[in-house]
Amino acid sequence: MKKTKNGNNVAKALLLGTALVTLGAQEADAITFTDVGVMSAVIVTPIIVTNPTPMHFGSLAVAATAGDAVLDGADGLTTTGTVVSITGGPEAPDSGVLRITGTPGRSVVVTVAGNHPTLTAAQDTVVHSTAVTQTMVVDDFSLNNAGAADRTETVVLPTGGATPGQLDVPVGATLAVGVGQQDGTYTGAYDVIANYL
Amino acid sequence: MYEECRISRISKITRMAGGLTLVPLSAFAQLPIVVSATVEINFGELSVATGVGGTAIISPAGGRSVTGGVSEVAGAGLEGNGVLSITASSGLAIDLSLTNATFTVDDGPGGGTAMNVTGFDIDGGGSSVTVTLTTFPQTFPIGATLNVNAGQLDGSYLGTYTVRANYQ
Repeated sequence: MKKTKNGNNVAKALLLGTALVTLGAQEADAITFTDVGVMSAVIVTPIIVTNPTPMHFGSLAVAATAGDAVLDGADGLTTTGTVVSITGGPEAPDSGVLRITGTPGRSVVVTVAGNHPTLTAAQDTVVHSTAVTQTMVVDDFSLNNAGAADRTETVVLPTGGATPGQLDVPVGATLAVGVGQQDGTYTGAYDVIANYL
Repeated sequence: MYEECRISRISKITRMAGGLTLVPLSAFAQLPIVVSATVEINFGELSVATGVGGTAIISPAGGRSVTGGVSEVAGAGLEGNGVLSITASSGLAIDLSLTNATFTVDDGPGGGTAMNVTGFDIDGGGSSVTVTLTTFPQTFPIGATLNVNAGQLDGSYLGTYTVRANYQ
């Protein structure tokens, strides 16, 4: 800085000038205000539903009047009307099993969808072409052997054991057999919905 | 957040012969903008198929939708939009924007792969909007899109985003 007789004042003036310029520069800048927000998500194991054991009503016969075959969740079958279960038939009654796999310890709501899933006669080679119209209604699904017409059950997936997070849920139902129901093998399907509670 | 006050529009200083004359100063005071992310963006509980990734979208209105291999876990009901709360001088335009187009959420060291969060949407206007406050504080909902990788590991994922506000 150049020294003059009045050097100190000049220095102060220059400093003041610098300060004013600096103030002007700050004035032109926009002041930014900020904040930090939070985001979150939880990833869980997708639920997988399989059907290791299909539901089977076994071998049945029907006489003069219609009736039902009621399959519980423990492989037990009872009949009404003139429907009889043929002991020693080619197929024994078998409760269905739904295998639910997901996050251990979580509750899962399992629902059998549809009001009247229908079995349709198998189209094998011994069935007349018109016989495929032969159907039987399956209703009153019972999940987890909890009683008739219980389409929805809440289950808790195990946290321990040999297969944590995996649970087998038995399923039963009622098959309505009509008078003169045509002989044959009948198959069908029903929908299952499972979601975390 | 900052607690400062900005003075602008200072009138000019006029130098006169024989001395310095100051003309009257007029000042226009702007309140500091107080921006606060008061409610988190919560994507809720999700699951994803092993081989197919997808997205989970939280709209500013709070609705959630999913694409690809991502499924909603319906029962938890945790999902919801975020909320920004703004206090500032009335009648002045304010630019609100995110500092980045992409932020991430993760579940800590050794956890699953971090997930990108994109598509920020402030009150339906995208990631950058200009607003003028009519109430104090005024709130603005904010949504975003979570990009879930195929086979994303289970876990609780957390992240942050930075929002900035300026007077125009």
